[in-house]
Amino acid sequence: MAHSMITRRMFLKSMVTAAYILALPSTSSGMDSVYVFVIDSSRCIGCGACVRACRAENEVPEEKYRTWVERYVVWMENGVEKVYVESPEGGEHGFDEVPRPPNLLRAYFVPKLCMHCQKPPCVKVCPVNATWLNEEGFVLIDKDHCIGCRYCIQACPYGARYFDEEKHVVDKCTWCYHRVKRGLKPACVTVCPTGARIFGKPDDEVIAKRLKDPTIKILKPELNTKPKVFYQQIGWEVW
Amino acid sequence: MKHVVRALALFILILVVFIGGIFVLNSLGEEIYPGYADRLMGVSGHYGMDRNQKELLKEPKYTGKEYCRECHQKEYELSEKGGHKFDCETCHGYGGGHPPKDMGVENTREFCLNCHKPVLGRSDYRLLEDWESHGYLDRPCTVCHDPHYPWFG
Repeated sequence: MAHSMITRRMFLKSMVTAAYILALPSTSSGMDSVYVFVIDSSRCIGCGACVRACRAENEVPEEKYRTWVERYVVWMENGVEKVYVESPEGGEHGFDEVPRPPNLLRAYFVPKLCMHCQKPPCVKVCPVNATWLNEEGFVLIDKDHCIGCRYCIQACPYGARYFDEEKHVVDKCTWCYHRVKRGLKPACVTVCPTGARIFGKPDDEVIAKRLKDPTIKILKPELNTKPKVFYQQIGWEVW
Repeated sequence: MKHVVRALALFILILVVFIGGIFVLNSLGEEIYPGYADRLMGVSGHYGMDRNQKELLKEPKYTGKEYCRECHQKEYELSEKGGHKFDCETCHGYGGGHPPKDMGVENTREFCLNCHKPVLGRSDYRLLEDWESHGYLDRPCTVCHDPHYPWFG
């Protein structure tokens, strides 16, 4: 009896050890194959060229946006930071003058797009596996397979997805996968006149330099979605 | 009492196997996403076409400025000299299907002011502070400035 007791303990011990050994290599991952997008808010002039280019390149329907530009105006009022955010027509036709508040602290433009998260909540909720994260870090949609249930639109914390009423499927920014695979840059990056948007691998020279900026931020880090769009020179009010 | 101990031991064993399973899947470099199921079955995508390849059926429209250079060498080199060295398609629109497609640009003050008007939020990126009185108000900017190289001299 005592003999068999020891073998059971040995068995359990070996099970735990095996699980531990198998868990060890899980820390390594091929980060070099993944693309990132870096946006410098201080360079963005809010001309809307990116929004127009995206619409033309991807045939985005009217009043829907794969990328859009927001303007943040922050001023001080009785020791409290007041924030005004606007995005008229997604910034497609540029921005017009607004009254300057007294005690203006900062005002800047923030281009938004799909974050292509490394842990995408939209992928987790899809009931038919119509959306996925591929090896290069793109979150894509199979529009023949999408049933248009719109769960992913609700799951996305960044509001990146929209519903295509005509085709009855969900669509979103693909980081211009069809262009990147042909050696081109995404359409919005191509037309940006000030270099506010750049795209590439993290070890590219320009990307690596910008990623070293200590002001760099990701949006909603507390959600652990691991977004791959990085922002420079933005305040706490952007999220 | 013996039964309770045995049931507890069995429960712990099942727990260890489940946690071990999660660690094994993690060690394969894959979180438990639905996308994994496809590869587990040894099939790549639906209907015989890779689902990533399907996205490539779309043809690019924006060609990049090297495409423009093939014919418009003069304008290309002129723009490379100054601050307007961004892509031709920023102002002209996409170049895909261009030889028949018209690449004309709206020649108005408003078109230039879309970038050069000093609206709130814009940093001092070649902004025209006196835009309301600068130049001839009834004529386009291109009367004085070459849009490919807007500086004088």
